[in-house]
Amino acid sequence: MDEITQKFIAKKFSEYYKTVELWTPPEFEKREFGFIPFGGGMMIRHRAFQSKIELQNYLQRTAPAHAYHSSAYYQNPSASTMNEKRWQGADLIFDLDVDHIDTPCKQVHDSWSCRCGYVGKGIKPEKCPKCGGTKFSELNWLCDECLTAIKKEALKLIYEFLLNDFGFKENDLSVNFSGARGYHIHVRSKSVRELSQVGRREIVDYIRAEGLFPEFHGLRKDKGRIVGPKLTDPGWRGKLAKVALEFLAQATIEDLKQLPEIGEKSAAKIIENKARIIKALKEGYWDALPVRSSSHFWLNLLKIGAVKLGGEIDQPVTADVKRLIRLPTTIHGKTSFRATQISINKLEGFDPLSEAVVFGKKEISVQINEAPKFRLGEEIFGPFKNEKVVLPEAAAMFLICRGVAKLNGKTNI
Amino acid sequence: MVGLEYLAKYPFTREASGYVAQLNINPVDLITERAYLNTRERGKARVFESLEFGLIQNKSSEHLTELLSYPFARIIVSLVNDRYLIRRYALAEAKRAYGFLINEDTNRLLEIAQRTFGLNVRLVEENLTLPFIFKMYFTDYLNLTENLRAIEWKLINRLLVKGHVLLRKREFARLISENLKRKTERELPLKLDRKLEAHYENIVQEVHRVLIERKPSMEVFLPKKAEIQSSPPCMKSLLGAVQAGENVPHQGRFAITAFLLNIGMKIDEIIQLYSAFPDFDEKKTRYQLEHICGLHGSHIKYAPPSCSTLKTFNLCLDPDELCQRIKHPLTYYKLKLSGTNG
Ligand code: SF4
Ligand SMILES: [Zn+2]
Ligand SMILES: [Zn+2]
Repeated sequence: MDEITQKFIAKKFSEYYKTVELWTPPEFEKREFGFIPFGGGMMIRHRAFQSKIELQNYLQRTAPAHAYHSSAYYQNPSASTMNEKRWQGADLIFDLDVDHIDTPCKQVHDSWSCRCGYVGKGIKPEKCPKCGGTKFSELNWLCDECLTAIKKEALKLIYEFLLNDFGFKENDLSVNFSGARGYHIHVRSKSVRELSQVGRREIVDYIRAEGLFPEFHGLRKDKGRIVGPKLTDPGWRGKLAKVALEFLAQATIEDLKQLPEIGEKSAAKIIENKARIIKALKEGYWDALPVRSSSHFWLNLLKIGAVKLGGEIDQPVTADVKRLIRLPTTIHGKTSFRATQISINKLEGFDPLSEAVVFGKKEISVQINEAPKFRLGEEIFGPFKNEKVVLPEAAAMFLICRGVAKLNGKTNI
Repeated sequence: MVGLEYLAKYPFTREASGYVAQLNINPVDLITERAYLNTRERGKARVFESLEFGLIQNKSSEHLTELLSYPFARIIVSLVNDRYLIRRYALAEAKRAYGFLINEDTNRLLEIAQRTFGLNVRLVEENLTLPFIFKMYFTDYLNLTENLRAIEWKLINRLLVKGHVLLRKREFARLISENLKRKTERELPLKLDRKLEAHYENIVQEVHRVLIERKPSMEVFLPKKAEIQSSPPCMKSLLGAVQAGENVPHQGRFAITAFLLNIGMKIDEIIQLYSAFPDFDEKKTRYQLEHICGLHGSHIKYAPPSCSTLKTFNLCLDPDELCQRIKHPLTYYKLKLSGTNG
């Protein structure tokens, strides 16, 4: 980013912090804060503030690209080592990000390039197919489809897991749009505060359905029949039944053949007897499938269903008890969007591409490198390639923060 | 009100310690007075049996003797002050308690869990046609199961209803006894008056002698066959911990077990390796090993977790140079074995 553009952004961010109603986490004085300045400097860590005003002044003065707070509570949040900090517990945080789900549109709007020059579309591979390298630069975009997909994961996590199975109250949860490509869900109930990393990891495994053995969920032989979980069962049992039913209802021959041990013939047979099989399944009988090695068949089915339901949750964030997480109501420096708090009942209808937009309609002239088509609010922009365009401030700021545009020299700031 | 018989059975409960406290017995009298001869015998048995067999037999001694032998045994263990002994003793007391708890009536169990251990537990009131009687709030559950290695204790394999984990009576009793074990490990050694040392000197010496004989050597035994020397640092240190009989949390146990199986060690060899666990149980261990092998139910053979998962659990210890180039401990092993690491 050139100097003029950077100054412009800093001024805009600073204006925002001057008037914003800043949100701060409970037990503010026990939290560590961290910031990343514009222009790719080092992260500033181990900061603590005595009051909200002090923090707000700091934000206004420094206009950082990113602002974070610790999920943890410390006796001395500004100490620089964990030992001196004296950990006193941490909120439980779930990070849901488009990065971790596979949407077909990524093939269109995301790309990566290897140092060797090889370029590809979609999600970056583990290794470069040409040179075997593992370091890539990525170009990710925000799109409606991706944002909707990740919102669905958030809803599933909240309703099926956190409120239902874990029995948290709505008051215990705080739901936030991250400001870019995902959602952060904070659980601030006292009961989870002192959970260890291992305990947190168990929660993650529960939600991702990792290490699930169906025989612990009621799958067994009973008088020559295979009995299993029912729809009305609580916890994972009910989910297993639901997943299996949904899968079966939608399954095509092709879907079934993907499963090991199911050949052409048995797949056809299953499809043929679908109605009968579904009926039996609803009664808790899992053996109605005309497959010999029924156990194997079922378990694979469950595995596929379970992972989907488990939701894509970045493991380290939840299990890590000393993590920094974006401070709600601050601006995300890679989008210019606000990290936005959402009440649970508004989440379903939440539109980040209008409700998290901070900047306005004032016209600004920018030089754009390259940008795919995108939407902000009701308006569609782009695609752009090597052109000078006059855009509303919101769109211009977005492109600048994405790193694909700069101020057009003549703009008056 | 509860009777002496109950207190003798459960000398670790609040009621029991309250009762003993109000008797106001001087620990010096315990070791010197004739009146406490039987108490001393029974107390010593508690310690020696823990050390030698890992469990405490139930002898029908008189109730008050039985009750007082408990604080006496704890004084001895505290004065010897050896981590291995404390672990063995804590485990044996827990096993002894389990034997009673499993036959105890439902309300008593609940009362012990709540009053003595402060656990958030209740009876299941939902009308479930399932064999679950108790429920425990999941944070208490996670705390207590942190060191239990069986896959059935994993939260994902439990029924979780509105924040509570449903438990069978047997499981509930097991968790209470686990809690007792942990509490004992945490509380011992007791802070005692230094003057006691002289009075207890003989008995402390005696325990020391047996302890030296019994304590497993800490030397790590590495079977040649599977080329364990080529394992990454994380796995070596996990193996070391297992061999030293330390409590390894189930993620760690799962990791090392899956790793050993995947590099070709046989179930029997692993069982031999694990026999040093303070709470080693061959039947259970075998079942779990077979599970990970995919011999039961799921038929899924488990691979050990990746480096990033191991890091999350703080199980990635002393990564070396080769570690910089890999993302999975099995890759490390393969590279090292084939000598491609230079
Ligand atoms: S980097 Fe991987 S293989 Fe190396 S010690 Fe850490 S977890 Fe083990
Ligand atoms: Zn390349
Ligand atoms: Zn998309």
